[in-house]
Amino acid sequence: MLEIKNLSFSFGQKVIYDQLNMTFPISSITGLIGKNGVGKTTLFRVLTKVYRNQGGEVTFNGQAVTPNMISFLPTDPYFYPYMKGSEYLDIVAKDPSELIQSRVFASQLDLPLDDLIDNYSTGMKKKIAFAAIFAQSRPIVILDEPYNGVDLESNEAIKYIIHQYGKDRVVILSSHILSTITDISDRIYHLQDAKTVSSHPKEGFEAFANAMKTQLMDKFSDSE
Amino acid sequence: MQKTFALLKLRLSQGYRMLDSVGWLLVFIFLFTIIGVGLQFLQTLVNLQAYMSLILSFLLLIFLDYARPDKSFLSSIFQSYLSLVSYLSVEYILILIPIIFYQCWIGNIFVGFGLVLVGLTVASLSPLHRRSEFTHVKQMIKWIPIHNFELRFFAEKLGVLTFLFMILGFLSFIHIGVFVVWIVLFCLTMPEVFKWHESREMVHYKANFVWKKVHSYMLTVGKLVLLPSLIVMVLFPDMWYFSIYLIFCLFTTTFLTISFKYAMFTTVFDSSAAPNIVLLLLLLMFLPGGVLITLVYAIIQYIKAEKNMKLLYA
Repeated sequence: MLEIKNLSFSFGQKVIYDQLNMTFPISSITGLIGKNGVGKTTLFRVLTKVYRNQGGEVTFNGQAVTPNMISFLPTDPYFYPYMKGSEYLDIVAKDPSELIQSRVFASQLDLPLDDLIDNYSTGMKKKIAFAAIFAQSRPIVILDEPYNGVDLESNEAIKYIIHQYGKDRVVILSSHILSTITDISDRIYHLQDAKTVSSHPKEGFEAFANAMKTQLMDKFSDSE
Repeated sequence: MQKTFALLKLRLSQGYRMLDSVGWLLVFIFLFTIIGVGLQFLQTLVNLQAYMSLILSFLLLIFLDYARPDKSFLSSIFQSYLSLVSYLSVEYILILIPIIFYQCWIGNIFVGFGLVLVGLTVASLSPLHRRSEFTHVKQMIKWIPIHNFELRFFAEKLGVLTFLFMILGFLSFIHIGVFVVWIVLFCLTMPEVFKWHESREMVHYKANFVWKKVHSYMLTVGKLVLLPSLIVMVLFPDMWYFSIYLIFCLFTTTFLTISFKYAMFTTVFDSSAAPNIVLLLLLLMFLPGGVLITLVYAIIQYIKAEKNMKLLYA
């Protein structure tokens, strides 16, 4: 289990997390939602040690988490210029089995691997990064907005891959489209502010979605 | 090890594909000129002492390492500090190979060995720092006026680097070689400064739009280099013509990169990176008389840019 205990983090005076606690069981898919700027991407960066947490601890099965345990798909993945899709998969894969797996994912996502990534569309870039990163055999997978710019068909393919190959791992994904999360997640964490995070199990998704809609409608009608 | 080879192979392929897109004829002419004239020219004029090549190579690699955008990507694919440093060492030593060979060729074996150590040192230091955009809240630099927003965005993005760059400029009194490196780095940074950082809606067209921008940046660049250039000319009076040539190169670069940006401007297409022809023309400038070729190209791009902007905003 991935456990976040009393996590604190701030940018200067701005507190992002104050004593945050969350758990992510193995063989489960957890969706992370929240308003823009609430700290979803920051949380991922703290987990992957891009940022150093200023308090609390993050453990996996009782051991401190290291970046080697995590496969991370950032919102805006990095690609070298003049690089082909196949070369990207070669570089990201640790061994032949990961490489084969990433090529299987790439074919499921209809990616032209012999083309230069510079000529890919936004969605194709996201897909090739997803194929490479999801094929890594690390126990924790973090996907930051994996559906951004991706076409409908590939959207379904990504959901299928996450569902099929996410077993025995901790999968965390964020998205701003609720349905893409509720379709495959076992649980949702709703980050509201530095201290408040609410947890919603699968059976409560519908009620949660309705509550959010009502809350938003009320807010709009009040402002009018 | 396998990953290191895959990455090095990719880096070589990148170079090949980039040159391929420029056209081999231009590349061969460029290489011929560089080998035939350039090295001799620089050696005679600058007369670099051997130890200076160690210092300048160290500064060059630190600059490259700090600015490289793939640091987070590399730390995500190399699982240990050692494997990451091994890869970076090979890459940095390969970058210094021409200088290492040159130093060994003229009998400075120890300097050649020192250059290998420089590569290893910069590679070992590399994982210890990350670019500030990943670790800090972005700071606004208010002393650069907003009408020079391209320069301001660049300085905000690479704050520490900009600071070191300015320090290097003011240290140019140590040796004419430092001044040369400073101006060359300044010129090579220009295409990055004039990338499309702003949205298309920010283009407020006025008559002679491109010329006004060029004029404004000429003044800014002039202010930035005025003091170091004067110091260099006073301290190294026998090199005054060379210093003036370099400053002329810098102004030509400013003219070229701004003109090219707007010559390529369309309302839909994002030509975010300067094409390789611009980079080659910038390097060509540092050969005797090369600046004239670059200047002619810049004038053509300028005319194209003014026409282009008028057409799009007519």
